[in-house]
Amino acid sequence: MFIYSTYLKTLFWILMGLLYALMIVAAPVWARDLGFEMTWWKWLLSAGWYGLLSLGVAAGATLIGEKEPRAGTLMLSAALILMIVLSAGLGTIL
Amino acid sequence: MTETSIGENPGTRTSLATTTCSAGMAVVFILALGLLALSLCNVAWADSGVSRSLLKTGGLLAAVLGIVGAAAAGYAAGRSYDSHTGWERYTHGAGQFFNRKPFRRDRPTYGVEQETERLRFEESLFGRLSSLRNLVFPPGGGEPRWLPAMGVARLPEPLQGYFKKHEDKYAHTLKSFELLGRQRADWEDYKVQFAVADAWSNANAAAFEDRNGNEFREGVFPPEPQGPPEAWDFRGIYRDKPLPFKSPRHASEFLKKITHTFGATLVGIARLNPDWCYQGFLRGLGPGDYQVPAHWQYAIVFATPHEWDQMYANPNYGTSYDAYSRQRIIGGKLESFLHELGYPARAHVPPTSYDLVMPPIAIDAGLGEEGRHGLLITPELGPNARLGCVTTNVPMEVDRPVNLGIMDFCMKCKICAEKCPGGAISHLGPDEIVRGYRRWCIKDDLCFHIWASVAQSHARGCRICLAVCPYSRKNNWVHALSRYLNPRDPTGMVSSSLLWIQKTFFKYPKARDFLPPPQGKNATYHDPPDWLLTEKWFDVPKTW
Repeated sequence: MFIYSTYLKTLFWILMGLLYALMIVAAPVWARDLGFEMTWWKWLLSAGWYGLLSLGVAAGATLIGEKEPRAGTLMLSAALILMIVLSAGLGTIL
Repeated sequence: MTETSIGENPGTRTSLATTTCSAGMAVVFILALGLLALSLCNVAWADSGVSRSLLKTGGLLAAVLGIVGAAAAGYAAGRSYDSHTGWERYTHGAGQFFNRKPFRRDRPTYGVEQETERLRFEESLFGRLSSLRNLVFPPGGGEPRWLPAMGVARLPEPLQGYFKKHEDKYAHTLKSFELLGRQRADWEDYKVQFAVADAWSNANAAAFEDRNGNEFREGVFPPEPQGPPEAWDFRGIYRDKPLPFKSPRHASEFLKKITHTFGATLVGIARLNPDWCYQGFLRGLGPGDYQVPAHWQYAIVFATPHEWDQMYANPNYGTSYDAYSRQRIIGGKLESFLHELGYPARAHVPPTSYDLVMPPIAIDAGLGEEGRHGLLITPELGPNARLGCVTTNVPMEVDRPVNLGIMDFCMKCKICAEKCPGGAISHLGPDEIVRGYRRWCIKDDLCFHIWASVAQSHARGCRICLAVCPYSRKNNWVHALSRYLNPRDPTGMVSSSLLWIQKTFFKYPKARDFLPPPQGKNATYHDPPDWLLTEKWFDVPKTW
């Protein structure tokens, strides 16, 4: 089982690291093609938005995992609504 | 039901149904991923070339998969038995991690060469040795019934027959006696070097035998005191003087380590406040007026949690006695260990073997604070902690009490008071003065009425207040973050936000629903774990 596997758990985080690396490499190409003039603080805000989205989704999933499906679903919904609002703001700034 | 769908360990095999379901989900996931990649490719396709477009597609896909991965990791963190503080995955069988299924065979590897027969007791080395020991040292006392000098011919059956058939075994047994005598004599050379190891070994054996290897055949562990503490608490001390610690700090650090090895999840040390010791009764002596014994200077306090899943399924599926039995073993071993080192000690353990009241001593020892429900709330276990202690006079460095904002949180929360079917928990305060101390004080008679009302065979507790308390949370990253932030926030905004989430997002049964019909519905806070479901494992009609 993944949760307790000696190897799979490690491989999972290696894979996650590779995904994040690929995302970081591709992000400037996206920004250029979309016509965004990125600065360090715009990158920081974008990374913060993505990080917050990941944490919100992970928090909801954690609550579902610990047998609190109602709390988990509400947490996920709240996180997604918040992130949509924030993405609108972020879009304006970028 | 197939063999593979029951009795699985969390760290090993999965059920057939789960495997099929997982395979199906994997196929759906791969198909969805392919479709996603195609659509992302379409979105990302740029005029500037294939490699650039592929990079953009990969990046976008990675961003989506990063979120999926975060969800998977979060779900795993919530589900993991590793979050069961004090009962981590190994108590749920994950230590049995090797997948034996590919290696299953119809016959064992030891082989069957001829007609088989049932084994005899004397074939066991320890069976022979214990029989011989009982002959040399009759359990009831008196003259030896046999001595090695008498030879095989004077041995009673079946030992005589066995040793006549296996002469080499008789020679080996005599050699064992000789070695045992030599080992006892040699111990003089080693008893300082291995003092702690010997004390630890003897303490672990104390649940069933004394330090001379005499097994207990009846009674409880630790045994109930008999006689005055000035005698009982010193029983079993064989040293002329205690093994001296280098310093009180060494003593505290060492004894905490040892108590953890005996199974304690939390350990703290307090100087014993006599106010917490009962007056009017002393175990071993009974009713009467007694001073607090002079050697009860310190308390080594230890706590262990209830198994988490059954605790959340209180009142009907839970019990207090899982943690109680662990506490008794820890207390008994620690008491024996201190005796081994030459110090007086008395274990105070659940359910009722106490000469003192535990929560305030645990608070003095810095383990936590008092909650609205009158229970100790610790940052690691919340109120899901059962307490015991050993009183002793080992000079130790004591722990200081803590202020983690728990009482402040309880002032606002009141969930336990709202969900107590007996109305035993105050909605006010803490405004009650008890023997000079300000505290929350539950209406214990009303509490017991619920003990005596829930659907259990004995009035062994209710524990709804443990289950619904927001501090009763496992150790995953979400709750670890709350635990970290809340005590460090002087504004109280974190606790207010957490409480809002708790009351808005989490679902609790109504207080009366915890009771059996007709008043309630035998409700539980969480669904019980599958291993407590009679109908899952036994062929019984489900009528509820």
